[in-house]
Amino acid sequence: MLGYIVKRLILSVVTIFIIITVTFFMMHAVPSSPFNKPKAITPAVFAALEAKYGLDKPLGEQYLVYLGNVLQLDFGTSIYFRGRSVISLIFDGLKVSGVLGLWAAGFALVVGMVLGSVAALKRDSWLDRVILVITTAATSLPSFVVAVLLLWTFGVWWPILPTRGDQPGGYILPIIALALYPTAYVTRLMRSSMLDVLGQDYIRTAYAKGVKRPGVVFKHALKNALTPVISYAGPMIAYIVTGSFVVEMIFSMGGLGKYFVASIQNSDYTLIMGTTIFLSIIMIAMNLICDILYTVVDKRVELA
Amino acid sequence: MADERKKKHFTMHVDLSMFEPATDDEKRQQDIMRPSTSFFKDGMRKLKKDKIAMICLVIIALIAIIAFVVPSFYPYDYETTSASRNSISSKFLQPFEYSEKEQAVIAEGGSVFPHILGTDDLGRDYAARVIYGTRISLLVGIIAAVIVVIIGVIYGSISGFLGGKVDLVMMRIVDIIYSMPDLLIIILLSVAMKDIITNGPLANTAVATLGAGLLSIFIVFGMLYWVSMARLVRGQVLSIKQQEFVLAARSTGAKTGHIIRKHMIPNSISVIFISAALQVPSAIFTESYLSFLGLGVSIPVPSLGSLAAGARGQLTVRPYLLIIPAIAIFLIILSLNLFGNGLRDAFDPKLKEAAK
Repeated sequence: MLGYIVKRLILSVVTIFIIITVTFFMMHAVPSSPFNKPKAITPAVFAALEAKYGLDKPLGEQYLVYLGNVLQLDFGTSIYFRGRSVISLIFDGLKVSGVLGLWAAGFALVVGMVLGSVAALKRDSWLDRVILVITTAATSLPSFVVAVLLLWTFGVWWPILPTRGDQPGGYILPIIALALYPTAYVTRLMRSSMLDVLGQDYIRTAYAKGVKRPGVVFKHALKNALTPVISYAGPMIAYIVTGSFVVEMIFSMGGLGKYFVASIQNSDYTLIMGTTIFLSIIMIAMNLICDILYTVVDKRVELA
Repeated sequence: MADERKKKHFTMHVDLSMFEPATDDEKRQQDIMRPSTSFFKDGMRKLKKDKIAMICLVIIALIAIIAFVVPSFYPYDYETTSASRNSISSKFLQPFEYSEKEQAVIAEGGSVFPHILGTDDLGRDYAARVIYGTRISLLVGIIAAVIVVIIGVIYGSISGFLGGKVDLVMMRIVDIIYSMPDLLIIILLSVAMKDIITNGPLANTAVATLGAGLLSIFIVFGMLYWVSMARLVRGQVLSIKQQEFVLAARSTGAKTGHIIRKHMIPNSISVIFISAALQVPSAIFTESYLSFLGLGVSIPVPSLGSLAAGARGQLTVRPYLLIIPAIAIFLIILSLNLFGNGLRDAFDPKLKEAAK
């Protein structure tokens, strides 16, 4: 177990290093510079600004300096948002995106697991069919379409909910827009894995021993049916992080997505690197945690 | 009696009088009830029975026909604006509304093809744009799936066949790529590509008209998305290598080439094909997402995602501008997903649970 975790951690560090390298050189391959974006400036000012941020040095040297800084957890200051450190900008964004993402993930897991279990337990009933149809439809809609349709339905057609993220209750629509796809996916996963578990021999044994239905469902079936859902949680976080880019944009919320897209549009080198590294670490860490949780819940899984 | 038995010492003592001929009814029991079926035929039979999959196939076929055939005779194209048609009043026409100039033509007795879905902010026929956008989205899905299949199959089968240290190193690389945040990289890459393609040496070539966003989607699929296909193929190769029927074939003297042709390929092709079919909607999803962020196809080429993004500002006045491309995306992805699932159920019931 410990050996596995160490191996995965080493692999994660290698992955992050590769992401840093790829992002760094890709970013500098773009001909535009952070200083000619808003308006043209004189060559002298341009040179002075380049020198200030160390952009006049050869690319290889800049790369090594940046790697050294990252190792000391120094992500530098943003070029576009003058005087703001990258870390403080990321935390600014995280206040919005983190709340949005956690709510969406929680909603998806809880609602998905309940709906999926209900559908499996009431197999082939009208309820099961309705759940299947709705979830199939929901997994075929991109998050931006859901977001805009929600905006239109509850903002224009039947205005009962606030449509801007900064209004009270303004998180409701973005959370629904973001959570719809993962909720539907978790529901389908939960349904099929619950059906699978309910057909196993040990469930029959439990019934034979005289355990009542709720006991069987909660004590025996649920725990074993959870494994596929846990292994989906990693990709789900990735979906929610990137999905929140558009949802934040549509509901005008200043989250991480806004900073990420803005940093790219402004060639804000330090902020691009900072947000990319931060988001990659979140996704990689979530995948690792899920894989470990997976074995805690299901003792049958062997770690390779 | 004893003598007679001795005479037939080496025969089997079969006395024909103890047997009676089989009746026709008994003979019929030996008949083959249905002709022997091949793996492919059996799968097709199951697929044809699957009503949902067949309906989805019809929908996909209809959409594909509309997207690829209709533009060749449709009177409007996706890029002719009202400015080039010299009639300012053809902006934002309602469905089946005519611009002043077109009304004048009709008044003189001429006939004008109606703008079925009206026109957009630049006076371009919206129906033509939606049809063309569907074509772009479908093309993205198909090309991306082909790229994924080619790279994934080659990489996965090499890794699976060679095994040992080579396999270990190749799979570590896959592990690393697998944990990369793909959409972040796609977004970064499409921005980088956009600048390089529009300002670099490739400007004004066929590559540039294709669009940096589209090209970067293909590159990213080529770089990142093949890993799950490679894993799948490697797993298939490894498990088939150890199956009893391969051992049986080997013990009866089958050559390696024969085993690959008759056992490896037929047994793994369905898995590859199914996974590729499910890759198409995921590529369309990614493209629409990027186009929505303004990083997909370049102006004026439409895609379903960019049409939806463009219609966002008109949401309160003309919601149908958004709803139509949204329905098109929905129908394409839904029917491709359901058809892919049907294909999976028909050709590989084992995979039903395994494929996430």
